[in-house]
Amino acid sequence: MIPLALSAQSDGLAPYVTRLRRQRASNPADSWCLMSTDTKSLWCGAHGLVEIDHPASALEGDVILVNPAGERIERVLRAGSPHNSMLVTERCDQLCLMCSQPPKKSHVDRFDLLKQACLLAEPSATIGISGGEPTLYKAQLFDMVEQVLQARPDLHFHILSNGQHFGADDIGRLSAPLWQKVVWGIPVYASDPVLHDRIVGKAGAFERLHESFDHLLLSGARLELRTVLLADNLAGLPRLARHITILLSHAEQWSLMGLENIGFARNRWSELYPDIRSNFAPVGQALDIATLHGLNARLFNTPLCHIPPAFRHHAVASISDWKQRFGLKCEACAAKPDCSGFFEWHPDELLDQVSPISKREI
Amino acid sequence: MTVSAFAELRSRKLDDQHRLVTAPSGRFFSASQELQARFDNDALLSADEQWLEANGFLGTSLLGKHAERFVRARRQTPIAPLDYLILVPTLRCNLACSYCQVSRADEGAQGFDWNEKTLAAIKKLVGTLNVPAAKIEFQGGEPTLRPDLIRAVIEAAPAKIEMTYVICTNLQTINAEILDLFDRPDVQISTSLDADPGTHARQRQGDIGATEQFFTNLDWLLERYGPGKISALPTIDPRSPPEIDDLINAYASRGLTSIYLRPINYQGFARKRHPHSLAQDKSWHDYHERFLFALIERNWSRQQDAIIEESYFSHLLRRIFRPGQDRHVDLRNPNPIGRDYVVIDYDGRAYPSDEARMLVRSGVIDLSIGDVISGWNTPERDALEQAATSFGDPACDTCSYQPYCGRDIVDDIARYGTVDLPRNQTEFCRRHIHLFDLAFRLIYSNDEAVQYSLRRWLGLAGDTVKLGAAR
Amino acid sequence: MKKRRFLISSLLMAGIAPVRPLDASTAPGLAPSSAGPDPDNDAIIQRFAQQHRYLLAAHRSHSSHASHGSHRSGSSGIPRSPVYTPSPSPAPRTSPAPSSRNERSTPRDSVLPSSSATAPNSLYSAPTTDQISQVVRRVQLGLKSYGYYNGAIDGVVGKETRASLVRLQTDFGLKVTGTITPEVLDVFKIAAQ
Repeated sequence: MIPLALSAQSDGLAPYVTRLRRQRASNPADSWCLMSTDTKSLWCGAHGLVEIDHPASALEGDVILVNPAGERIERVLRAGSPHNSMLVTERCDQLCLMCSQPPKKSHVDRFDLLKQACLLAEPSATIGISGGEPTLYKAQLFDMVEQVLQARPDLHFHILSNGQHFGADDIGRLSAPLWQKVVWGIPVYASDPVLHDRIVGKAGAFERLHESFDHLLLSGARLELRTVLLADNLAGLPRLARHITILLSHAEQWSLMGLENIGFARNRWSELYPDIRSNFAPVGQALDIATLHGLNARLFNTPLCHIPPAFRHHAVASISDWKQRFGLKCEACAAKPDCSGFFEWHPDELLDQVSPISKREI
Repeated sequence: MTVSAFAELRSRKLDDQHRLVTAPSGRFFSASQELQARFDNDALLSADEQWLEANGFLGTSLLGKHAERFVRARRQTPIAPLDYLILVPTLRCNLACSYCQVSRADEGAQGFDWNEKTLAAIKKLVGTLNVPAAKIEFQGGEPTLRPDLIRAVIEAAPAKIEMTYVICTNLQTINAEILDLFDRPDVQISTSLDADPGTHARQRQGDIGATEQFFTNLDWLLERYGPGKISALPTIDPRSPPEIDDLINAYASRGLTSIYLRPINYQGFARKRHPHSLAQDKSWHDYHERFLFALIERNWSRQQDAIIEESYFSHLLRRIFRPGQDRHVDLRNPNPIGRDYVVIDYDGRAYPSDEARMLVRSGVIDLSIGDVISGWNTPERDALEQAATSFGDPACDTCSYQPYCGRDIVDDIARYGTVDLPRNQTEFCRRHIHLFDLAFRLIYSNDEAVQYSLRRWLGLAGDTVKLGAAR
Repeated sequence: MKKRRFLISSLLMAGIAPVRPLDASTAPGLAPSSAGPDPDNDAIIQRFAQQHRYLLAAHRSHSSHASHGSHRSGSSGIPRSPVYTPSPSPAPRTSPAPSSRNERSTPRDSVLPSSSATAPNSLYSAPTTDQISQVVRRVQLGLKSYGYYNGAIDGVVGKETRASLVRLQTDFGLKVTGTITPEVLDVFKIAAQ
C-alpha cells in the first residue's frame, strides 16, 4: 500500500505547496533534498525546511502540501502516477449509502494551494478532483480550473461531482474550448428516481441531476457516467442502460464500478455487496445494451475471474496502485497483469473467492 | 396527444401484422395492429405515450428534447480533417483481370507512375496530416511494383500520428523489399480472393499458373502473420457468382472471417438501360440474401469456430443501432467530398473516391476535383458535395431508412450517367431498401440462429438482449 | 494532358449544378435548419454532436468498398475507442501512519491543514537528533556567529531562532519567511551532503 499522507516536521508557518527535487534548481516552487536516510529525508525550499518520515527516492518529483501545524505532508501529485486525486472539500449535500469519503460539515478553503500544486504537475498529467462535493464551491472550482488550464494547456482534469449544482447560467462558461480538457465523472445509480434518491440519500436528487445533465449537454461538456454496483441496483441495470442510451448518449463513457469496502460501505457490506459471480446476468445485459447503441461501457474494480469470458473485454485494470491487493491464489493466474485485483481493504475472507485463469483461456 | 405530434415518425410494412416505425434519430419499433389502429384513430392511451417517451420516441422534458436532437445530429456526417488517403503510385500492373482492364496499364509502360513533382507534393501532403490517427491505402495498378514510392510515403508521415498503411496487392510477386514493407507492424495487406481457385483463375484470363502462385503466396503470408494482418475481398460477377459454400470455405478455411460482397457493375453506363439489368440486380439481391442465411446457419451450427460475417451487412446493421458510424465512405449521409477522404491518382489528380477515378479511365466522366499540387478546394468539389446528400430528396425525406442510409453519387453516375433520377430507379436505393428490409426482418425474427449471428455481428457478448422494441 | 472526350462532358450533364460562391463555404447538405421552437439550442447541439465524435471515434479507422476496413476491430465489430480510466475515490484518511494497512475505522482528524499562522507547541518541546535538527543546529551556529542569535544551539526553530532568521533575511535582502530557505543555507555555506 502506497502512503499518501506522511508525518513530517517543518519550520514553516502556514501550509504551503512545494515540489520535491533531487537537485537544487532555480524554480522557487521546488524544494531540494539536503539529506536522506532510508527512513527520513530532509528538504529545503523557499518556504523553509521539511523533514519527511520517508526516504527521498520514493518522494522525488512529488508535489506535496506541507501542513506544519498538523505535522504532516500530503502527497498531492505523486510523480509518475496516473492516479492522482485532489480533495477540495469534505462537505457534501448527498449521503450515498456506500460513500467512500464520508462527508464533514466543516470546510477549509485550500483552492489557492491546490491551484499552486496543479501548476507544478508533470507535463500532460490528468489531475483528479474530488471531495465531498466539489461543486459546492462552484465559482472557486471553475476559477481554479480555468486559471490552471490557461497557464498549463497541456493538463487535463477529471472532476467527480454529484451533479446537483449545474445551472443554466453555467452553460456559457462551460462551453469555452478549454473546458474540453475536463471530464465530469457523475454518478447515476438507477433509472428509477425513487431508488436513485434513496441510494444517494437525498430526495429530488434524480430530478435535479437530470436538469444538470441537460445543462451539460448544452455546454458540450465531457461526461463520464458512473454506477457503483450494489445489491439494490443490480436488477435495474438493464433499464438504466436503456435510459442512458436514450437521454444521456452524450456521455463518452459509462463506468460500472465494483463496491469499495471503505467508508460507509464497511458497516453495510453484507447488505450492499452484490454477488456478481453468481448473478452477472443483469450486468451483462446492461453492457450489451450499451454496446448495441454505441455507448462505451467499462467494468471497473472487478477481478477478471468474476466476469464471464465473453464480457471480459469490458473490464479495466483499474484499482489504483496505492490501494491494490491480490489474493494468494491469484499468484497462479495468467491474467493477473491485466486484472484490477481487489481493494486493499476488501474483506479478507472474500480474497479467496478467485478462480485463477489458465494461459489458454486468455 | 394527437398523432400529429408524431409527424416525424415514418412507418413501413414489416410483416402482415406489423409495421416498422422509425424516427429521424434512428430509433425504431414494431407497431402491432392494435397500436396502429390507436394511432390512426387519434386514440393513443397514456400508457402508449409513456412507452413512447421511455423508449425515446417522445421527448417531453427539456433533456428529452435536447437528447433527441443530439442523436439526430450525430447521425449526420460532420466535416472532418483528412485522415484517409488512397494513393495510386502506379497504374501499371502485372496482371490483367477481366473486370479491371480499363483501369490498368501494362507492366512495361512508361508514364504511369508518380513523377518527381507529384511525389514531392504527396510527401508534403502526408507531412501535413494533423489528426491522432490516419490510414493510407495504396492502390493501383499493382502498388508493389513501386515499393520505393510506398516507402517514401511512409517516411513522410508525422511521427506523432498513429498510422495504418494498407497495401492493396494481387500478391503475385513477393521479394525482399516487398516483404520488408509487409513485415512492418503498421502495415496491413488487402488482396482479392475470388472464392475458389477455379473462379479466381477464370477472372484472370484463365491463368492457372498465376493463380497457383497467388494461393501459395497468400497461404505463406497467412502462416507468417496469422489472419489478423491480411484482409481479402472477393470480386464477384453478379451475372455468375460463385457457389456460396465454396466462397465461404475459401475464406473461413484461411481464418479470414470477414467477407465483403460488393457487386461490381460490369455493364457500365455505356450499356445504358439494359433490358435485363433489373432482373440481374434482383438476382444479386437474392444471392446476397442467400449468402447471409448461409452464414447464419454456419455460425449457429459451428459455434466453436470463429464467427463469419459479411462486412457490408454488418456495417449496415451497426448503422441502424449506432449514431456516428460513418467511417465507411460509401454509406454515410451527407457524404462529404474531398474532406476526410480523398484519392490521389498516378498523375497527381485528386478524386472523391476510387470508383470516381476508374470512371475517368473508362472514358465515362471526369470527376476529378483537383490535384495534389494545387489542392482540391475547388468548385467541382463543392458541386459534388452539394449533391452528395439524401436530405432534400423527396423520396429519401419520406423514407423510413433515411437515418441509416447514405448517398453515393458516383455509383449513380457510373450506372446511369446522372444523379437526377428518382431514387427508386437507382440500384443504390433498390439494393439498400432490400438490405434494410432484410435487416429489420432479421432483427424481429424469433429464430435463435438468426439472433445468435446478429448479436455477434453487433459485438454483443451475451444472448439476452432483444434487439428491436415492439408494442 | 490533352483534352479527352467523355461520354458525359460535364458535371452539369450528370445533373450536378455548380454551387454559388456564397454557398460554397457551408457544410454539405446539412439537414435543413430546424424549424423547431428552439433554433439556437438546436445549433448548439448540432455543433456539439459534430465535435463529440472525435473524442469517441479517435481509434476507428475508415473503410471503403475497396479495402473494407480496419482489422483491429475484428469481425465482432468491437470498437477500440479510448478508455477513460476514472480517478479513484480518495485515499482513506488515516492518521499519518503509513504502515497501518488494517486501519478499520474512519479517521477522526481532518486531513485539511489548519490555517493557524503560529507554529504549534510540539516544535518547541522535544529536541530530536533528526536530520532536520542537525541542519537547524548548523544554522543556529551560523546565526550566532553572525550576531543574529543568542539562544541555545538546540536544533529547534523556536521564537528566537525565527526572529533571528527574519532579521538575517531582511538584512541580506532575501525573501523574508522566518524559515530556513535555500538562500539562508547559502549564506552559511551549508550544502547538501
